[in-house]
Amino acid sequence: MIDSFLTPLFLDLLGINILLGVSWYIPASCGQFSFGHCGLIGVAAYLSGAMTTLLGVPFPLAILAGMGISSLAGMLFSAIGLKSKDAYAAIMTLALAQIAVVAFKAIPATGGVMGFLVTPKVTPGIVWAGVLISLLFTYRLESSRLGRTFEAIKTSNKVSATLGINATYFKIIAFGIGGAMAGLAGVLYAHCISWIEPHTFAVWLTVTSFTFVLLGGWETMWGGVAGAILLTFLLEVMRFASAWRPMIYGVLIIAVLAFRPTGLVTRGNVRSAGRFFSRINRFMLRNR
Amino acid sequence: MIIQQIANGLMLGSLYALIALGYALVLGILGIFNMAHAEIFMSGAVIGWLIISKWHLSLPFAIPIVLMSGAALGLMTEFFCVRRSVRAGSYFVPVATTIGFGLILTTVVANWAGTNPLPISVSFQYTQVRFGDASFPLANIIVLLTSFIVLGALAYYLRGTPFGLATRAVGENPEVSQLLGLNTTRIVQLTFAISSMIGTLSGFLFGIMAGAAHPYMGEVAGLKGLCLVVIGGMGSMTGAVIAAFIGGVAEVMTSVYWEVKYADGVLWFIMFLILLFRPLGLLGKAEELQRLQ
Amino acid sequence: MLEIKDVTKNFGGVSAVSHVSIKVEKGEIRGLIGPNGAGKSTLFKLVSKVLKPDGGAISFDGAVITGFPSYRVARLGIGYVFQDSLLFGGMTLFENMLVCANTAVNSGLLSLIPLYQGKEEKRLKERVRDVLEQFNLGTKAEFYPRQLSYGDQRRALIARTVINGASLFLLDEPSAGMNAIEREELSKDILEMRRQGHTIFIVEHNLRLIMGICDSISVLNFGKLIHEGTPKEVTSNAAVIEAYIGTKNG
Repeated sequence: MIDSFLTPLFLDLLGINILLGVSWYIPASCGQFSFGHCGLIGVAAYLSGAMTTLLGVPFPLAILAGMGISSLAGMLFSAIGLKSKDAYAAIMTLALAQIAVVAFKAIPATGGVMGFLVTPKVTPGIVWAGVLISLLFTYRLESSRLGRTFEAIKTSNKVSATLGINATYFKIIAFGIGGAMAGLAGVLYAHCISWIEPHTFAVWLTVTSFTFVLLGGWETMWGGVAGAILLTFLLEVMRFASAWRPMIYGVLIIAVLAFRPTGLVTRGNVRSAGRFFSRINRFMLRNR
Repeated sequence: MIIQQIANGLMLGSLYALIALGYALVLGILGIFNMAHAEIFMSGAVIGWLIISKWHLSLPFAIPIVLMSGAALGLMTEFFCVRRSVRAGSYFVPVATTIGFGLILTTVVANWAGTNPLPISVSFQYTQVRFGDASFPLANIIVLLTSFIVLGALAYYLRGTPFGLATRAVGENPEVSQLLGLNTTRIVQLTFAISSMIGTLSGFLFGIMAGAAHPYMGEVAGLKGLCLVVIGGMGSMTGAVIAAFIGGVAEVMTSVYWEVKYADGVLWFIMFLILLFRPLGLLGKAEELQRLQ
Repeated sequence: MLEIKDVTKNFGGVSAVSHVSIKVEKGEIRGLIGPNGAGKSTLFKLVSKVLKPDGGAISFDGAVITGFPSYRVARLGIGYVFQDSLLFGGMTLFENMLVCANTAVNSGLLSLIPLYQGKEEKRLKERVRDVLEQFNLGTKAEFYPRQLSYGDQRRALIARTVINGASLFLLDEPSAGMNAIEREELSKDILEMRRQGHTIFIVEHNLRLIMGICDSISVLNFGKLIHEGTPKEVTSNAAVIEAYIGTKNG
């Protein structure tokens, strides 16, 4: 069984899932729920796939292009949605996703409904390089002033406004960053599974992304990571029941949120872990 | 010809109006998006398949079964997904848990009945009714009439009955309503039950109209319903209904006069435009949005 | 410093604030009192732009602010501390104080670059420490809000607004829920703020607190301004007494 955990495919998917979780977490960290995440992912996937396979563009460039377009799309659609308050921003991203799928089906060059084959295949090395860079970036973000501002906005729009914080501006930034990360995930995903079709980027991807975060813990970035790791392993172990996967997700969401609404990894957990590690650090330095 | 298409659009719109109302009811009273509504809609169609194609019951028996299963599903949704989180004051957790519930419904149906369309054939499946040059399937006309009946009944309920008044009170201010002696839990349950009854009914009607049921049909139609609620404006049921009729006509026009493959995206595009120029939706009120912060 | 001119706000058919004109001078402590429902909180919300007025104009330091969104008004120097205000529970007291739009220290994407802020950040932290000392909260800087007493939390909210660079403070019932000792602390803090040149506009139900610190008081009833004057004048004014005794909340 251990062998199935070490296949390149599994390692790729694990890394990509972590990216999905963290990319969903970033807008969520300032209170914004991206329900069109699959659209952001899909747009980057299709663009990158088309660029490398149909136009022969080198892969690194395609990655950047994918991240760019997802970032822009995220910012655009959230900006429009935020004109009418947060709840609509979430729905706007949903609109993006739906329009994207229709667009994908309609473009003949990429195979329409049937989809197409995407050429350069990623290695786990590339995927995990991306994952590590993103995790580092997000970690830096969380502990910076920007991260603190996000948290303030998540706690209360109104109170933040009285401190002079323009919530809309920061939420758009969050969508820009989260979008770019989702784009990275999308590109890597496309070049991992190789055959992409419009249906791949239907609502299910959004559900997986936020399940990772809501289950794993939405207070800190590590929740998304934990949720992604947990669920990826869980589903690999339960491969025989893959037909029931959506239901398992559904039951988990309801159960976990009923008993531990903040998700599994809370801010307290992260802080305790931080103290634990720093104590070990001091101990080891003392015994040098 | 164009009149026929407009009429077709209105009939589709009447179905969308029912779906949208299901969302709008819960949204208006609790400020929650019941994302399981799409799957409840689908369940209605599947129940229609059960009743008609498997059990061969006649239609008068079908309606009560459909309504009761709707109520049951609604109560389950309220119990598992909503009660705890609303009391905790959280507005996004119910969105996630209702999505979860929807996933459960979809998977159960898909695994039990298969992922192929389940045929539903009624005796009047192919009957057409003529109005001058235009002809419409009888099934569609029945859907239109039922929609109006339901809309009328709901409007009467909300405005004319004490329960309806209580529901509106809870929607406005749950704390004060409790202090006035209203049992808010019961009212929430009732609202969910009604919303889901409308959901299964509309699914059932859609199944008859389309002649088939399918485990994934909820996704597309249900999400469109949500889109229409937003176009109509937060917290406005009338707005949702108007948006639904406009949307139905728009979709039919797009598929007839442009290309069928764009029809699914048209509603979202309209929503995009409307939010751009009128961020509150057609009949939305600013105070409603405050509540959702 | 703050000029409210003929401002009106209607909710449906009810006039919450009706043609109210108030002028608050720089450096004074102005009280706003009135029976429940008189429109005091609404007036504050109109000034801090949480709500938009239906009529009239508001200007701050000579500039008209009627069309501005609330965060912009906050950046101009109006610090609004309202009843449901809260400290951010996930951060320590010290971190709470650092969250603000102090434009000298950037909060945008550039803040991600380590060391970019260097000196500015240091200066801000110094200022935070000073203000916390001023409010007697210096020793509690590393506590989380839930570990602080209620009185400390409410005063910390005011401290946070001071650090944000506000020059006009709108305090909506700051002493609600405090005991007598905490209220004394609050009075001292407000007087100290006035000594530093700030202007304070305060809504309060606790008349002893108001009479003790205010230079002048405006009285609202049913959305209208019914009297203005020094604390002594106001307590002996017939219309004011009638407004308070004539209502059930006396």
